[in-house]
Amino acid sequence: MTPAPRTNTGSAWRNSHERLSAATARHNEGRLATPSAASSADDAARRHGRPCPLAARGGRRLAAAVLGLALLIQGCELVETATAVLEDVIIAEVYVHVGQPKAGRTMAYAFLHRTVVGSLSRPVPGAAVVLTLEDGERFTLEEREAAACYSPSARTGEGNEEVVGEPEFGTCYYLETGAGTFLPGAAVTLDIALPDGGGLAGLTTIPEDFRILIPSSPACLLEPRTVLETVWTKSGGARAYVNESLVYGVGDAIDFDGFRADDAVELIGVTASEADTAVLFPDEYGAFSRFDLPVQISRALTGGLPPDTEAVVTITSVDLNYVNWARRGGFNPSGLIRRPSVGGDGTGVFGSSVTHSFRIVAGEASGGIPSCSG
Amino acid sequence: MRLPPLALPLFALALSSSAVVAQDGEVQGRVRDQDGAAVFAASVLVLEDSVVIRGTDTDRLGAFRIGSLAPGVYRIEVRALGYAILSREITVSAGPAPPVELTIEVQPILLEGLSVEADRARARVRFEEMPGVTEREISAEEIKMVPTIIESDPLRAIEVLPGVISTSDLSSSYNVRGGSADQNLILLDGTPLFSPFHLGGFFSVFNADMVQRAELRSGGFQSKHGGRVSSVLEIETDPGDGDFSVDAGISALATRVAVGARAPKRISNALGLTESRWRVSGRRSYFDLFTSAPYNLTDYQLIGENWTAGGDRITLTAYTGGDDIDLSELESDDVRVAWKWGNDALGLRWTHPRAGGGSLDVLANWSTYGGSLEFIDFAGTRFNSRISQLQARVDFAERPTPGLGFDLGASLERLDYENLLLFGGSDFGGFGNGRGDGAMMGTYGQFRWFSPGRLVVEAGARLDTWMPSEGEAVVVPAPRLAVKTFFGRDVAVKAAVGRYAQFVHSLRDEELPIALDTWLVTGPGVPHVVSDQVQLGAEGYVGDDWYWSAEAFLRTFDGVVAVNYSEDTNDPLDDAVPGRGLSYGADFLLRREAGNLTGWLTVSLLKAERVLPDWVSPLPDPPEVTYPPIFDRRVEVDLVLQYDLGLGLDSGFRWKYGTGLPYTRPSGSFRYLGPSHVRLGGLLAWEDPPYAVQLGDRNGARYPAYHRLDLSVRRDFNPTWGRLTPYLSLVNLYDRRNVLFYLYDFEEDPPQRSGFSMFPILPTAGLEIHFR
Repeated sequence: MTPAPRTNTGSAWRNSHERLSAATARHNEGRLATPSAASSADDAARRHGRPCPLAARGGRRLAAAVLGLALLIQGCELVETATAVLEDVIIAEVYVHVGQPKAGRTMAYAFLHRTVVGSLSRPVPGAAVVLTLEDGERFTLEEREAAACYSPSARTGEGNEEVVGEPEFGTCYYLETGAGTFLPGAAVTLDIALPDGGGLAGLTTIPEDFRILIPSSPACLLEPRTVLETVWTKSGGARAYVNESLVYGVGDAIDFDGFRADDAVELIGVTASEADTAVLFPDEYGAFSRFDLPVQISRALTGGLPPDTEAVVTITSVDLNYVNWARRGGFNPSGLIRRPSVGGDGTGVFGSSVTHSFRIVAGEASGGIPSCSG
Repeated sequence: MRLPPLALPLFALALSSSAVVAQDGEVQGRVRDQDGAAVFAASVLVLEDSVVIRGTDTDRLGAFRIGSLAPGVYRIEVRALGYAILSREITVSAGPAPPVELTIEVQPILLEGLSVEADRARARVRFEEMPGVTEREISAEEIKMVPTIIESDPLRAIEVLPGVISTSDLSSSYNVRGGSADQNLILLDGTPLFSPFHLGGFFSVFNADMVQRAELRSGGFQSKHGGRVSSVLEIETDPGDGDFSVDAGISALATRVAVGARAPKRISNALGLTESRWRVSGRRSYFDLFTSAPYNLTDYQLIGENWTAGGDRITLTAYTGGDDIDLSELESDDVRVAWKWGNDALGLRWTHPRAGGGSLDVLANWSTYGGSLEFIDFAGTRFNSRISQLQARVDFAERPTPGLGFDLGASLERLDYENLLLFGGSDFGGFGNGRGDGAMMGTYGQFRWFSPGRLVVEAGARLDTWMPSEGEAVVVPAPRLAVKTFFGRDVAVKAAVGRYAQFVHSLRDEELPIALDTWLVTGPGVPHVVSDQVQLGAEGYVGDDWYWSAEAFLRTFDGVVAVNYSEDTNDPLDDAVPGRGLSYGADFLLRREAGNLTGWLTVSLLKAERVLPDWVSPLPDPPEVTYPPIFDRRVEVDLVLQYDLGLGLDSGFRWKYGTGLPYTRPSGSFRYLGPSHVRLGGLLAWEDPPYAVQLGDRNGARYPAYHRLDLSVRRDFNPTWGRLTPYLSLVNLYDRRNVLFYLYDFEEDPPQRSGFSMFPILPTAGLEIHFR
């Protein structure tokens, strides 16, 4: 942790808000004043058709049913070359996580990268990333290797982890503190000074703390094939609760060949609004994950856990910035649209969260672990 | 925008002039067939020395009225499709005349060209008697002759009318003069249908065999019309002539059948009716019966038309239909899904004729649209959406003189909606509690005065009161005025101003080529739309066969809404963001209405914009962004021709050209990461899909121009039992690759732009069978 000198300039929140507005306006003016290189490049693009791959685009039956007729009679792919020159934009993914990387700690990081150019990695070294509390106390995040912020591995539908991303394509700025520094409910401002003189800004309000009510202990025993309504107290200012769980032993429990013994099923879901503080476990967990899971696994995690399985669960209350960056925006066929909360000479998110976790073991009653139901 | 208070001076002018007109004589009455049913759209002509000097057409009750006739002896002639010509001598005296009853006989052998003549007569009557409304009609024959995709579709046929924009081959949804698609009122025999589409817009629900005509009012519509601000499309069902008939067809999409007959006389007489006829139809797609495709669409429609001895008309219209994707019985690895959506509607109408051509019209109807999507294997995950409307209305029309008419009316509607988006046990549906309702009371009054060949004036006002169950009531006074003046017999200049209001919205993202509507009504957080509109134009005839029209328009739209993609989940009232819009442009139409070669050329110019909060701004209070909506097609040209090739062959030709539609071009993409709390202790993880886009200016780029040539050929065979009509249609004859959307791939070096086109050359064939 590197505490920065306190400032004497009024409300840091207001200043940051003004800087965000000013930086965004300045950036937009620049965009409007600059003739789009992309236009001329697009105009010069050569386009040619190729035979309609009428049957080339398969997919699941649902998609085929919805769009089958349309694809059957259209589906002509257009291929073009020498298209638009892209805009070089810095992406700042900045989070303050209370209760992470483990209980009692707070982690803040900024992962800076750029819009992609082919397969080139595009880190942003040399930036100064500063977080400021409402009382003016400032914290400078330390430049670290990318792995301090980011893991290139992902959990696949078969439960195992695979390296799917580039290990180094951004620059990490990192800070880890004790529980008393970034308090739940606090407003935090972000200022990033780029090496080329540009800057980005943002602000977040950390959701208020909450408690897990059910289960009432950090680890509990749940009768197999029994559901449990997990309940927690309201986290003031939260806009959603992300529920995540890793369920171990499912492959063995249902004798499903696709899973190795130590594989875990990852279920990610969300409840909307600060008042939505109950989710049925495991049935309503993993709404975002179940489309990617083998149906056998998804069905096995409905109506309770199979015997001899175990789940680690986190409930994370998140702010509006976090939600806006995570959810899908409007339609654009080229990719996802995210609402940013970082403005200026780049884009990105400045989100905050508070996390609590518990563990559920599916098995018969034993002396060591209390029952989840009370 | 405030409208000029011209109504009173013009009303005074109308009254004073009507006194002059009253010195002439008139002829008025009704045209009915031998069964007592009124004959709609019959041409009634007044001849003097074998020369037609005046003419009009009959309304739904068979009524006609022709004034400004000098006292004397004339010959009156009545012509109607499927009937023998009636010719009769009449004597006209000064002042009001008693009604005459004219009965015409069914003629089994159709007179060639009479259909065209009837259409032309109606168009001429509109030209002479309608002041400001921009009203275009497409007959059943024209709907079938406009080359189209797979099978005839009334909604795709109206795309060729001036001022109408269709943004995609994949959708039969349309936009009129800069209005959103949800601002089009679509009526089936007076009953509104909220989303009359199959496959997310791919086809309309209307079976062309059941349609008698489609009439689009694209601007300047009268005070009697409320509920939508952009256009009114009336689809009228053909009740048949009472004789037993069967119409069947098969296309690449579906099979369909329509059966019509009359009720036995003893039954209709027992009910106090002189005539009772009905038609019922069914349509169903069939590819699920022969393939493993789990999709089907269905439409069922009923029309019953009844006549009393006094000329009262009582109709019953019913529709039910929808789309069904059923993957609920699967035992394989696929996700089990049950997905249904569709419309249901029921309308009952009683129209009582009054002397002089007036009427009392009482209508009650109910309409609902909704759907549900359920994932069998995912607990707490399902989507439901529904909107319903219950309406009762009364319209009273009085025609004290041939040139003067008054209309008064009132309607009472109840609208309610319910939208549920339950995901993982959490309700994402939003919009308050996901439901809302309200009642609307609309009242109007209008008068129309016309002096044949000189001036037509229509002035009125509408008062819409919307009373949501939550929130404050909204009252929108909506004055409307239209004036047309003639220069000679064949040229007129017209102007119309008016205010229109709307209290329902669809949140369908029009940038998606195919999508379902999600409706909501005005209430807390959801504004109502007020649109002020001005249009100026001229129209006329060159000879008897050529009609032309030129109109310029300006429209404002306050209270349009869009989905708030960055809504605050703690605020139940910010799910829709309010905005405003503007459109202006001009429409041109040149139409040939008779001869072997008929058709029309339209040129539509448009500039439309929307102003809404920029939800991709990083600022907590996003600034407004002004952008062209997806339907901002600056120039569209439609050339539609129908040619009689001889030997019973009819051909249809359509060429459409449109300048490029706007889209938002990405300026870059970036790897999208997300924190993983359970697995990585809050560190960022690779997400799937892994790329997000950095957007350029909203709808700041445009696709290349759209153009397409379609041809169709039909041939009638007339065996003794009826008629057999095979047809062949070739869509996109020269295989133009019109862009549906672009895909930008910045992972390639250099970045590559690819995309998908709309229809390639698409031949389709079908067969229509008519038994009688």
